[in-house]
Amino acid sequence: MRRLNAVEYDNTLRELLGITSRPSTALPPDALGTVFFNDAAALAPLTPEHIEKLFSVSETAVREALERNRAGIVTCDPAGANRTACTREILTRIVGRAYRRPAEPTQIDRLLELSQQGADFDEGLRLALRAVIGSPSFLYRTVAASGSTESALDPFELASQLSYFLWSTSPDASLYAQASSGQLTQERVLRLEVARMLKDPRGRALVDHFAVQWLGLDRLASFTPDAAAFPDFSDALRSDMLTETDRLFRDILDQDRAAMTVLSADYTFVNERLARHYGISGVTGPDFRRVPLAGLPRKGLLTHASILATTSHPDGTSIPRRGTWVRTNLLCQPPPPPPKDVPATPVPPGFQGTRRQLVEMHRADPACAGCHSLIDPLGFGLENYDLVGRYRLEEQGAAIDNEGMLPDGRRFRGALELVALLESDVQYRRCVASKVLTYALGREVTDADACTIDQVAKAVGAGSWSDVITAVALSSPFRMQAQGGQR
Amino acid sequence: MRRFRLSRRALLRGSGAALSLPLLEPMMAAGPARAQAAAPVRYAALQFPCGTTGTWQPSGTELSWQLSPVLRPLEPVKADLSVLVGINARIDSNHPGHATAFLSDASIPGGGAPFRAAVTTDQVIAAGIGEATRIRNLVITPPGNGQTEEGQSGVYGSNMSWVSASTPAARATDPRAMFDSLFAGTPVTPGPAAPPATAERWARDRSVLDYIRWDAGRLNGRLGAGDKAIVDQFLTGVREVEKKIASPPSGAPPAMGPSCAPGQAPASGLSFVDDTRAKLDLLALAFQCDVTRVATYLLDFEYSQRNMNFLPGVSGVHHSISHWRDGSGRLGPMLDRINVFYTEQLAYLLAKLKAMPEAGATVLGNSMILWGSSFNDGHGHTINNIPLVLAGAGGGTLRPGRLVRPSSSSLKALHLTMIRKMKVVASSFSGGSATIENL
Repeated sequence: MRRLNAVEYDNTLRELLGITSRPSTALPPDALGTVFFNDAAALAPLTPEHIEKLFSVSETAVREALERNRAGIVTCDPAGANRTACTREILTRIVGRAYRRPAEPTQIDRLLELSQQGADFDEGLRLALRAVIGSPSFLYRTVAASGSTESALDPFELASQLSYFLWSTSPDASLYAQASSGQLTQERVLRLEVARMLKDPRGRALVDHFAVQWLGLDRLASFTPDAAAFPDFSDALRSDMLTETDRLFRDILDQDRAAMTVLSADYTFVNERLARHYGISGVTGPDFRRVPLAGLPRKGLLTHASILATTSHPDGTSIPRRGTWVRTNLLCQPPPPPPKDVPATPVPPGFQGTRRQLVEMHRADPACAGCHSLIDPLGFGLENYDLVGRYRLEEQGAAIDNEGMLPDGRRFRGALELVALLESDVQYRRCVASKVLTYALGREVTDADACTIDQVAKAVGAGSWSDVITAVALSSPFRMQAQGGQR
Repeated sequence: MRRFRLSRRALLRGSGAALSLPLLEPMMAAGPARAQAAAPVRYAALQFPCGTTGTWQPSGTELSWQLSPVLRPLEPVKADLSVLVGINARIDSNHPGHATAFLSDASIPGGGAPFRAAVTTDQVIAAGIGEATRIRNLVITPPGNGQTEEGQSGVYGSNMSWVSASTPAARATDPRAMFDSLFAGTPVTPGPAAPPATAERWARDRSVLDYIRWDAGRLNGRLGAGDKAIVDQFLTGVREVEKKIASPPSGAPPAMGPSCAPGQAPASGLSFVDDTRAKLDLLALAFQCDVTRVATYLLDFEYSQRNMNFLPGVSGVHHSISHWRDGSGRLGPMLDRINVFYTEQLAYLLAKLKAMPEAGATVLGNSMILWGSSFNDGHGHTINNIPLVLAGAGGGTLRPGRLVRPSSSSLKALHLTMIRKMKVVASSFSGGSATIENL
């Protein structure tokens, strides 16, 4: 049983009622999971304050729906004696879509009874709709209890699983129809639905939510470099940095490119301001456009300013932080936690060297070397990019030493060689696979998911983005109910 | 003004405290013997992240003492507060859990959902004083979420108030929305405005809730045990909403204090400094207007990654600076400056409450306000002798103006003592039953 998080709540109301406001802005913020928003919001029980707010929000949402989208909701003539019949018709349709499974007759009877308390048709319908979107059958995605063994999701449960994974909203009419006919559980039909849904604009929810949270890009919002380190920073530049990464993911999704393109794209998207920041010439105006990276020291995600800034300190790069980022997000091998009393960057009085020299001094202390030998060598390889992602060959007048090392001992020089090594690294593929699976399931993956991760990792290495998503959607953890009923 | 009373039912909700029901003095009918109850007593707790350089402790004796440099902004209200020296926390946790555990002194094992925390002091007190005010418990934090550290979810670092071991309290993060729920009765939502309340409308609201409850009961029959617990908690929440609308309002906002003037609503999307100031204003106003009697304010998320360069002489993010023993000597003064900033926030709130006259005293005199951090030395993550200031006279239950070495060194004992001084009956809290006798 999983609660709709704030984004899913807004999207589902839009899908169901055609409203365009975002009612969740009036709700308390969702709890955050360890990686993805969707795991924690789903499992944390609602507080009375939250329920009270949901109750008051439902009133404005329903009111807006009947004003903005009356034609889409009131599909019959409610005049005079026809009021009850028309209300019943509307409710039968909407309750099924709201609860993501066909309405039961007792539900419709109770709601009709409620609607009769309204002074007129409109008020009656508003009361019934408030009850629908305030009830747990709407607010939670439920899976029927099945005893102690694993069992397959029923077609309606599977349709919800799929639509919240790909779209962060409820099934549309077409997906719902496939569930109603029972055909969705057939592999062929499921594949076709995944392909259709990824082509739909709603498929961008994967970029907006999966990609941003996987990469930790929400942290960029709080990154502001010190003026002494980079005086030209602005909200506009920060926003451009995010747009670049967003555009790359959208391009890969829209064009259904190889999943490895995330890492190895030899093109990117810039506007004039970001192009200037990167030292790319010939781009004018505020609009983003695709530019080739051939001959430039950039390739794929790892050289995006968004990532490089997110992993920096306000006064300069952070080699340990970048190394930790690569290990955690691209290799799924997070380093052990630092001891509690370790300073972030010990800077001896009067020190004038490079960050690398500073970090290497720190590693000379045997107490620090254990962990830092795991993370720093990856960060060394990215030192050609300063705290805001600009390319540089020198720091403090000294040449940058960009030699780095992967956890398995392979050595490389600079980001481009690191990307080449990651491209052939099975651990990278398994890591991406497990991130997608975690997001799809809304729970952390376990050893029991290892076979599924291997399957999906093959698609990451050799397939397109839609192959990866399809592999997850066809996997048994995705199509089965977890033991004990709590997902 | 309504007299302060407890219901048995409200008390039973305080699951973090072991309660002994026969002793409920405040549940008895209002009588002339308790003159102090003329004005309500309020409880607030404020927490700042990442600890200090360990130099926050004042010098001197109980009655003749001097504020330390980081506490110096409190000079104008020194007579209205006591500094507590020698209280030890027992928290075993990474950074995020230190926000969660300040008001329970529990250890937080880490991980993500389902969460494992502990019920906090403010929740026990709020449950104890129940329906006296429109909002039972005001829980304030900055906008957004704190960050995950080493697999310990950012949820812990974002929440200092926990309704149950697995449920963080609903947070108020936006000053504008906070103003509206405190003073307008209904939250601001996008779209057309709701019509004014009438008796018929409240009756219809109840019918809507009837259906919601029926649907939850129907669902419950088909779910496994873990899911049933979630639906049960949902039903508890629905009953609370029902109780709130059980009596149709007469038109005037409920339970406003006599000298209450909410004034202009603040804006949203303010800078951190302005956002903090706006929320402190609202907290003071909520106490003055008697809209709530219990509040917590997590001044910033634990494991704060905020760039503190808006303070003179400070550059860098708070958490990095808090590991200040880096050999350079640069970071200690910066951490002190950050702590001065958080002391200034307390000083601002106290001055504001002190300027609000009430029943022959002030709102500050009728409040007890705990301020501190669950770390002493932020560099070493030490939890002995954590920085704590206890302000206000608690309606005559506290003796401010002193440097206090509490009779028990346990943080749990401090919390249990404050619970009791708020007239909520509890025999133990968070597994401890000791109290402090010399507050």
